[in-house]
Amino acid sequence: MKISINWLKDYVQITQTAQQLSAMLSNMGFPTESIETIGDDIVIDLEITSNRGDCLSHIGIAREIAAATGQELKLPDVKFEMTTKKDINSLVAVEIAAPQFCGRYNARVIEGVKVGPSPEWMVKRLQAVGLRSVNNVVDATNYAMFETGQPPHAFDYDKIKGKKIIVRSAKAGEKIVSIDGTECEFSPQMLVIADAQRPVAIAGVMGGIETEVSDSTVNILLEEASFNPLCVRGTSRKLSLPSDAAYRFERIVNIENIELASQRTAQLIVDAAGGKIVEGSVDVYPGRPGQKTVELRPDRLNKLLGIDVPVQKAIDILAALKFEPRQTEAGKIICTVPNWRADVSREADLIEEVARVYGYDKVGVKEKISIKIAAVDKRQKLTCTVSNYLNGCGFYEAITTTFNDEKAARLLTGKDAKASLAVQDITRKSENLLRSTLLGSLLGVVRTNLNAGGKDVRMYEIADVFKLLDDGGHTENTNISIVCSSDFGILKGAVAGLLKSIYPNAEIIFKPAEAYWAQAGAEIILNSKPIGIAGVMSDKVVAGFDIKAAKICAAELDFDSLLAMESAQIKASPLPKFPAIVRDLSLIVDEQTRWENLEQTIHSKAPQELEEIKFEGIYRGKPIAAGKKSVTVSLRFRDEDGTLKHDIVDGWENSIVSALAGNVGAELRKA
Amino acid sequence: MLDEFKKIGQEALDSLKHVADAEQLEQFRIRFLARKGLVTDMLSKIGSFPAEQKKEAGALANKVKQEVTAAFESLKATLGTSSAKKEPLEDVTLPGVDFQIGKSHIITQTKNELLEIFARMGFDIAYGPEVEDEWHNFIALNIPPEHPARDPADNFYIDDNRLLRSQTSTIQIRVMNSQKPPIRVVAPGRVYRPDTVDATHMFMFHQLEALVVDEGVSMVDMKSTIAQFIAAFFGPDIKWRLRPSFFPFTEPSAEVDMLFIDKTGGEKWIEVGGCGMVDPNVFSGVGIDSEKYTGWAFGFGIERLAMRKYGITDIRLLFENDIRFLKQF
Repeated sequence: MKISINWLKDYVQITQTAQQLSAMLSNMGFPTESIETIGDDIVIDLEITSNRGDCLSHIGIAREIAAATGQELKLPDVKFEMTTKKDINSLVAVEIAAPQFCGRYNARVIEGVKVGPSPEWMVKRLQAVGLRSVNNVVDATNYAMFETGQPPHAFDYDKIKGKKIIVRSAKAGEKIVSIDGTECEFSPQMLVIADAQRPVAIAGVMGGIETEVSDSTVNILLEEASFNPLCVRGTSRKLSLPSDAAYRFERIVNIENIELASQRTAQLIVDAAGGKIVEGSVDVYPGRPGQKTVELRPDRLNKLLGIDVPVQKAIDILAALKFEPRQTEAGKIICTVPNWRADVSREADLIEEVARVYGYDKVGVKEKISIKIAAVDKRQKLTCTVSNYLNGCGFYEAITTTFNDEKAARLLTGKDAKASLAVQDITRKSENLLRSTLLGSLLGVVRTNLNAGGKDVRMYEIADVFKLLDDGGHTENTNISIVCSSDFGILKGAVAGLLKSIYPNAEIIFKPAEAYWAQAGAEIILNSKPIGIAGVMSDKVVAGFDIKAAKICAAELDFDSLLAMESAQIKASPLPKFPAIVRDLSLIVDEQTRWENLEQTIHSKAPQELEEIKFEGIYRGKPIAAGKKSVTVSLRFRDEDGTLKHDIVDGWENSIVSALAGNVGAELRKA
Repeated sequence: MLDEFKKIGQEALDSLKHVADAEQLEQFRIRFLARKGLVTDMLSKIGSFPAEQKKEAGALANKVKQEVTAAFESLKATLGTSSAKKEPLEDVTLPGVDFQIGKSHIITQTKNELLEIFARMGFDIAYGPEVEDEWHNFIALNIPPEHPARDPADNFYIDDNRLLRSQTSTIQIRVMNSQKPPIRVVAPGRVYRPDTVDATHMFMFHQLEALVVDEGVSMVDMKSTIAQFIAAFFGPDIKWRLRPSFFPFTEPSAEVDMLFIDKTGGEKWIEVGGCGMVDPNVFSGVGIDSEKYTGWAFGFGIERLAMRKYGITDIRLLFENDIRFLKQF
């Protein structure tokens, strides 16, 4: 809200510099966006919080300055001559058909105006606050709005049909062209100002072009009213028609001041455009509010602020803000809320009034000794454990936004947009689905990094995913997703190592399984509970995300399930006392033979002295026949109670080799 | 001949004194102790002695060999076992191995730092869902239907009742609904507001919310905690202030401004968060007696703090996840 210092001077004395004034207002809750010199004037652009609709005007800000500097506000003298020849009621009738949306409507008539350019002083002030001069009548209404904060509207009286104003809900299909030339079609939730035949204005938002004041206008019908904030906002947003008037109605105008504001506007019109004001107004006022009285207990004030504000100081502040404070014998301060302060209705509101004028800088700082130890948070701890492990494996954490588009959802889940939870926001027409997997976002990140020249890109993210349920409800769950543009062994090693680091004694199995996005997938099973999936991304997905790397591997784990599992205490094992004997076997097997087949067979024949079965590598190519591979396995034997003898190990080895030959057709490769 | 043996022994011991490295030691071994070395050769000559001298010559030759071998072994041990090729001198200025470890995202690092600061002050951590209902996101926070914050254009609504939370204050409500005072929690999380993306705006960002409720909690407590938090995060010399403001869920309300000094020395107050005393309407919504208990809340944007601290000028960098950016922190 732009405030002209010259304009302010009509209502209060300003002795400070603009910078001092800006600092003072900022400390009272009105921070400055900018300060600009315009000719001999200085304009301060103030930020006004949404609860202070009463400060969207020069008088509103002047009132705050007066309170802070101990001055009396000088309000403009409303004095003008009226022609008494006519009865206002014979000129216009007002009907409020929707009193829930319009608490008061005041109509006044001014006859014989001469529409033309505005006086220079008016143009100058309007320009200072960023308004373009239109003509003397429109300028006078704008001037009045920026003076009092109450938006009037001037109609060309002679274009109002039937001498009648009806405030009513719009009918479906009704249309109007607003004064800025926008064609608007009403819906029934919208409020219109209508004459006997048709809507003539969008209530609280903008007038219509057919009844606007033009060069040929002679008589004015002046509207001064109060409209429901929610109704005005809804209409203004739906029609994409923001206006200074709507902005003020949305923040509540002073319904009690409407008659006076109308008189002031009429006076400004006559000053700028001549004419005579018909005596009286038609003032329909169904929504008159009661007077609000609020109590303030000084001890409560001090308890909440934590400081001692002298009672007299609190009373002085409230008096300056026109709350008419009076203290009861019991010590309470009774206040009558001034009619422009729609935001104040409770003791807490009065406490804020006192505090902001007294100064937040007077609230001190003291050091207290904390006596509570916060418990270690399990979720935060697990998050850090996961991050540390994956970081150590070379994975970077990504933070991506929660939305997916339908293409990503289809590629990763095979389901269309209807299967996902979605936001309605119009700014997210395509990327409006709440993701059910983090993989799509991470694939995007991998692509970004590959395109930037990265190789072996490793990323992960920990974030919530959402599932739409059949009944329309939803679930929200935290997942860990891990994606890399390298071998599956790297991904699996990271995942298995991560799980081992959290659950040291857990049994972790990657069970071959179908995954929609994978050409080779596995279910990750931790202590016989499925907690995620892993796999090599299918070519279709990789191509669908426009990734040029040959191989993308990914895993997605259920973080909440991991959190729910009890982690076993680590138990230390003693170091072995006796030496081990290691035997390496290179086994030629069919391409389809899995490691798990070899491992199971070895286990089935292994003595308890078999300490470890280790995968050493795979070789394909000459002299190994096509369709076969050579898998090298290292077996480590150890006797906890003595030194092993080679001939005993030879026996074990032979029985394992023959079992492998029998079960999986493995042939020992000759060196 | 026996004198010759003694002479060889002495020569060997003398030349061993001049051996300085493994290479010279190897040359020594070849000259004296190898199969055709002088000392070994000595032993082969014993057979040519007359019978009566053989015993004396053998004893002497063995003694010399033992002495020389012992001295050789002893020196070999001090020079190191490597009798192989000499390693070239290490170039200590060569770069070390670039270990390819990853890093947590700077937003996570900042969040962790903030959580740790608050944990040191005794705050527990609280969480809440990102898809919220109107009650937690608005009604319980004293945001009436006519408040601009509820506008559909300013929120990601899913349907009439559900939306992506626009603030972590929703977690305040969840905590107060499930715990009795005293309450001291911080709540981190993602929040969502439809904003056109530019250098300083993103439609998703992270907030951290602090809430304290107890008997006798005052604005002084709030200001003191914020003072400690700012000193811990930005350092003790930073200037800051509370400025009156408006939030529906606190009364009185304030913005926390910090004074930043730009390259040209210009001073600017930058808003880093909002705070205030919990509004009595919020207390009554969650069934806490606002006469008995008072409380304060403080919320701020994690990105904004991180950007300030690390000099990041474009918020979009935080969400592109380019490793060349991520690895800087």
